[in-house]
Amino acid sequence: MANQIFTVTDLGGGDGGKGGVVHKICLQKNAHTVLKVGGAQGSHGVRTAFGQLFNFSQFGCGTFEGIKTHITELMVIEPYRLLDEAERLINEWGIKNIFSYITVDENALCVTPFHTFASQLRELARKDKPKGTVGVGIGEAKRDAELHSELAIYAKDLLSPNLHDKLVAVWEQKIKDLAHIIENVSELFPADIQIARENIEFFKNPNFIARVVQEFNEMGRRVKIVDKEYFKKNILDVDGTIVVESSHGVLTDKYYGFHPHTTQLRTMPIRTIELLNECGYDGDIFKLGVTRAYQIRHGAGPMPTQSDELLDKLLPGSSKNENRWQGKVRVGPLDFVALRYAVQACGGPEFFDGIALTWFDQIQLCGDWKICDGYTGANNPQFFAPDGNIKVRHGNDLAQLKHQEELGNLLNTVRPIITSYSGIQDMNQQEAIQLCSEVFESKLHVPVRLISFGATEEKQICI
Amino acid sequence: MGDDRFSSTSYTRTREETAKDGGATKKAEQRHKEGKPLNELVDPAGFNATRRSKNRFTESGNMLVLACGIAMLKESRFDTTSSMGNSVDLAFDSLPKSYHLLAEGDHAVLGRYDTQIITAIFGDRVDKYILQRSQAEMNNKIAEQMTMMVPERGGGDYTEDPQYGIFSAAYLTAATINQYGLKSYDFTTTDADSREKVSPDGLRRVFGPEVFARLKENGFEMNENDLPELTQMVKDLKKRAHAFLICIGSEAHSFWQDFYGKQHVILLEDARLLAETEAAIIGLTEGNLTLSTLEKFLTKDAGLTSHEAETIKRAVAHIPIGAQMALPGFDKIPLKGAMFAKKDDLWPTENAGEKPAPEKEKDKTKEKKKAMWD
Repeated sequence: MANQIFTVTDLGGGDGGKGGVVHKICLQKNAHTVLKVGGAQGSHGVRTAFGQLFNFSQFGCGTFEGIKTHITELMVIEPYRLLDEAERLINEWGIKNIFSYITVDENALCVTPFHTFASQLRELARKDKPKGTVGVGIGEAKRDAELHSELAIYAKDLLSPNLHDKLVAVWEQKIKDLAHIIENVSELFPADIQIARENIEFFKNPNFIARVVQEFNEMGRRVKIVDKEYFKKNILDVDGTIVVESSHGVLTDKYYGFHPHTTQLRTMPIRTIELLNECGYDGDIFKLGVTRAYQIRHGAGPMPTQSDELLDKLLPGSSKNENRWQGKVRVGPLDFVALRYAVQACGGPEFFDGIALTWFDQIQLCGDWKICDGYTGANNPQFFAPDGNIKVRHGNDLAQLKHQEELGNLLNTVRPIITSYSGIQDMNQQEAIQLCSEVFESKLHVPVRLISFGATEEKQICI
Repeated sequence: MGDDRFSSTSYTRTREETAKDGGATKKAEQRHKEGKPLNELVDPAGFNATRRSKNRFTESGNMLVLACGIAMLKESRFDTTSSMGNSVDLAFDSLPKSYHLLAEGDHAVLGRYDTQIITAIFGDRVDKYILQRSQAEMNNKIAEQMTMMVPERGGGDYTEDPQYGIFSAAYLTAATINQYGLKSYDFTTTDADSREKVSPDGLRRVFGPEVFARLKENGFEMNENDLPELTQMVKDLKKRAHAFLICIGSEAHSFWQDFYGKQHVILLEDARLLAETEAAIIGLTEGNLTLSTLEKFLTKDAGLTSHEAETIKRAVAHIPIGAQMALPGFDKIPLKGAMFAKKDDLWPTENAGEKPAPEKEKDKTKEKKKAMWD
């Protein structure tokens, strides 16, 4: 049985800097496997001291170190992109045997290009009320699997003789689901009409399905697809360290995020822990929460501390670019009210064993560290506690979604109360560590265990 | 019964005697040359083959007092072939320091236990003695039994036969520590590969004609035609011990990694720092040392230079830190001074079933997790 497992959970809306943290733990603990959970759309940047730089999506962030990746059943995969990612790792970084580094659970759900197109068309149709999506179609595939289980394509189906028929059925379903958008393309924003028409062209070309079958078969042939027994015996039972790398963040969880600006996936760390327990793992799990030293959100959704002023100062160095689906990256002072909410939703400060605080070097460049420890206007007792903290409601039904939507709307109206720590640029590393530790201990009651003073592993200091 | 422990005074006496003989094992080697048999105390077949590590008590009225904490076994097994022929001398010379780091020093890594030590040496199948194994001792008998060993120092071939020693550690050992849900410590030090099989005749030769009955008594009923091979032996050993292979030189490094797993193979250039390396591994596994405190422990408590401490730190940094702490029984063991009704009882009478206060429990969990992170 694995001696130790480390889970890495983003406490914001994603983009917290999980890639570097996973890479660091992999190195520090000499991990043998990275388990992937979540969605294939993640873009986890890793920059190593040897000059390697890559945004990992479906391969784990320990790949440069020869650490294997196992895609669990909790991951939604995108076969096209996985092959592309592998190709880039081979061509850009010379990892010739890249496919020997990865195994995929047979029950990992697959996104098809039809889901991708559908997701993008839906977002275009929302016009000035975007949901905020990465446009890969993870949520679309997940929702379809729940509504039409017979249409779900799993990793075990990639070489199945029925694959073609299933893909045709998915295609037909998507044409049917999107009929109203397809018929009214001219009503979209003028700038979006061309994108929409290109998508629809793909949709309406039945020959495209043969190409998809070919690509899916290709992945089925090149990647080792395994069952849960294999996972138990060949990964979980192997002595050593495992690191769990998840996508998204707690604030985009389907039921704890701010509906509708969420993913269809569950992003709470408890899902991983349940899977490990189900597979017989009863050892210790070190649960690490990750946050940047400032708030960041890529995509629509409430963000009380959003600050255009900080954007220019903080954005350089981010691997996130503006795109039609997620829009602009937004940044702002680190929001401890949101952090406390995320921590509480996961089970409270006791649940986490530590915090990894990333991108602190950007704060050092700024000189001031701005944080938000409360909101004005947070008075509605249904949503806020007397101390101003956000109340956590538990549920997984429509009433929960309605509550979360109302909460999100309220968060769009509150104003952050900002505290500023100055002189950060003059602090030496030890002083900075002390400040961060004190701030997190007093405001979040979770100890800081790692601080990034730069992108590469030697600048990520474990405490 | 008893509470006597290893002491430097009695060790010095043993050392002076051996010095007169010309070396730690010279007297025993002379006996061997004269055709005399191995002392039963270090003969693996002696005392019914199974080595037992049990709790010790002193009497107090009609009660028994756990004198030194519960018994914690450490077994160290040395290659004595060829260039490693002086392993016993090295272990004998470093015994006081080793015991100090394990059991007596200010930061003794096994300070809360009654440290009991088995020393074993192995050779090659062409040697007269493939294996010699002491009893689990906790006082000067550790040193005395080292002097009873006969390292044959033969060259043999490159592949040696430690598998009989590993077999005995896995199946012919009964350690009370396992009954508390914790594991003992097991170290094999060698510079060579191993044969992977044991034979029924080989087992009888090493552990005596009744070996299969002894195995059965110890809970391992074995079929002569289906004996465990090295992979299985190590797997079974790891169920009851934190087992490490210390590889001297890199020649056999990858061979052993296949059996022990990367995290349990330690690479050292030579055997000079063996005692300190074992203590470092135990301290990290017990969670009372971290990679940050290790250097201080090795320089202050073990008296090593910074360079030597750094060498050890690099060699052990990849082991599963805090693995003992992660075991469920870690916080629940009886401590020194606990009162017992009977000597075979596992739990004291006065606080049986008592649970630590919730706050303390919480603090312990935090410490455990911190050690995991370090």
